[in-house]
Amino acid sequence: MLEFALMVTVTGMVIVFSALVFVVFVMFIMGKLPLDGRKKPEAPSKVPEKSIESAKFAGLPVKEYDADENELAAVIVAAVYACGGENVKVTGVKPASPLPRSPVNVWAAAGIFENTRPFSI
Amino acid sequence: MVKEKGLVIRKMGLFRDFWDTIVGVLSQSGFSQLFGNFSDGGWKNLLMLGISFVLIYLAIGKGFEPLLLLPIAFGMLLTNLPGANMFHPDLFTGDPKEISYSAVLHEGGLLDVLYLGVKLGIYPCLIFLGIGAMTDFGPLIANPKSFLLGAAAQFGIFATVIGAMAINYLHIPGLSFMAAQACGIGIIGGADGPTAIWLNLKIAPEQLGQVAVAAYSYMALVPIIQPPIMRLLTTKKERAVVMEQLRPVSKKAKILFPIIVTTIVALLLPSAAQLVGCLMFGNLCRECGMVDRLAKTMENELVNIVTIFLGLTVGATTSGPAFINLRTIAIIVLGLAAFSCGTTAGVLFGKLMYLITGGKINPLIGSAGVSAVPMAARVSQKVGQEENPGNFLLMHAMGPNVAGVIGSAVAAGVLLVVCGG
Repeated sequence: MLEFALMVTVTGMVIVFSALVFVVFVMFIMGKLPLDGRKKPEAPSKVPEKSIESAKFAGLPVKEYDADENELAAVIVAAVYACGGENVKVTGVKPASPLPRSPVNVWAAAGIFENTRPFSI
Repeated sequence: MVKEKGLVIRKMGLFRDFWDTIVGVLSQSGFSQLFGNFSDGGWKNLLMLGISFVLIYLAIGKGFEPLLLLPIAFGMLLTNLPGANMFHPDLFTGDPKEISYSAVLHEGGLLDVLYLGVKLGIYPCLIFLGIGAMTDFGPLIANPKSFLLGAAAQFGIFATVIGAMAINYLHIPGLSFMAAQACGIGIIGGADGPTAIWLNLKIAPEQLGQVAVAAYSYMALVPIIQPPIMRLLTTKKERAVVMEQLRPVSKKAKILFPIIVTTIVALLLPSAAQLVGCLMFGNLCRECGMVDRLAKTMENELVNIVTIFLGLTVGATTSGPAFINLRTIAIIVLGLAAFSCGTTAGVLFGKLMYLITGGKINPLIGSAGVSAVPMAARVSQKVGQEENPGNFLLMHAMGPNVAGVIGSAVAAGVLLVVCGG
């Protein structure tokens, strides 16, 4: 009986590891494939004038930022106004610094929350 | 005078009829059956009622996996009320192919009809549909090494098979396990309720109730069982390891993953195809984005309905005379051993990976290789934060956690093949 149990243990662990190692290998191959649609970096697109105007309207200094940051600032200001209404005044938008001694930034923390949301009771 | 005497006699007759009726009702009441047969098995029903109250308190008062524990506890309460006859286990003895469905429909009640979903192995597969629709395999795809941690944690299953078979050598009267029963107990170590139910249905249906209650109870007790083992097996330095941020995973990769895993696992081990196939189908519906209504139904309405039916009917199998015996105590102890072995194996493999990678992997995420999603991952996060409050291990631990679901399904398939189910 113990021989049977030992045989089951060895066989089971070998098969479980083999199956999952094979899947790992396939995942590794998948990781090498350009599945994320990686293309050559394009030239920065022209910032739509509306977003620059929005940022100016909000009183943000529109200096030598690149196109993405202008748009981001405009989106953030619009979101704040949508949530807070006219009672809220945006005085500045700057990148949040990661938590001390942690490489995870607040967006990752938000991702954590999003991924565990279905399980929260 | 004669008239008055007649009136008195009539009134006494009425009173006697009334009293006889009251006595008749009370003699058929549950109290009478409970305390009247106290030494003859009634105490077992009373004990199970007490256990059900404790489980209800744990579910509601302490919040221990209430979605699972509350239906099981209430099913336990209903089935141990003498005379209620909510559930008729005699309708379901033996092979599922030999169930008399007409008898179930004519003589059975609600719980008997709902129990057909358990007996025919339908509910575990439906629950896996919902789990797949709820699960994000991104952390696993981003860090495929997590698969190995999920595989390592399944050692608890097989170690318990050895333990259950070793009990036979003690020659305790009334306590011996056949090979199929030992395998059915071992699967508790996978910390996966639907998988435990599915496997026991096929190879050891006579212990389904005990295994299901043990499996779900230990899933609810993950935050209590795992942390001491994790602290014992790791050093402060190891627990404080901060892992690199996971790479982003593309949509295409998340869509291809369930298709690839289903194909590989089902070709390698056809007996695991039911569970893995349902899990991956649910996940594909979630990730493809083309069938959002189906995915939402799977992760909400479907899994909620099936959880209610499964929990109630599994709890209903735990009637006192069938549940209170030496075998049940042995199953509960072995289940705890299985769970602890799985956690230990996962953490030790995590330490090995810590050494191999030069300290890049936090061994705590190895404990999440048991399939209790997402509680085991949360426990890794919590224990890791005790050493380093800025350490976010949750997403890293989700990788082994969901790999454990796949691993336990594969392990169940292996046990099914070995036991000839």
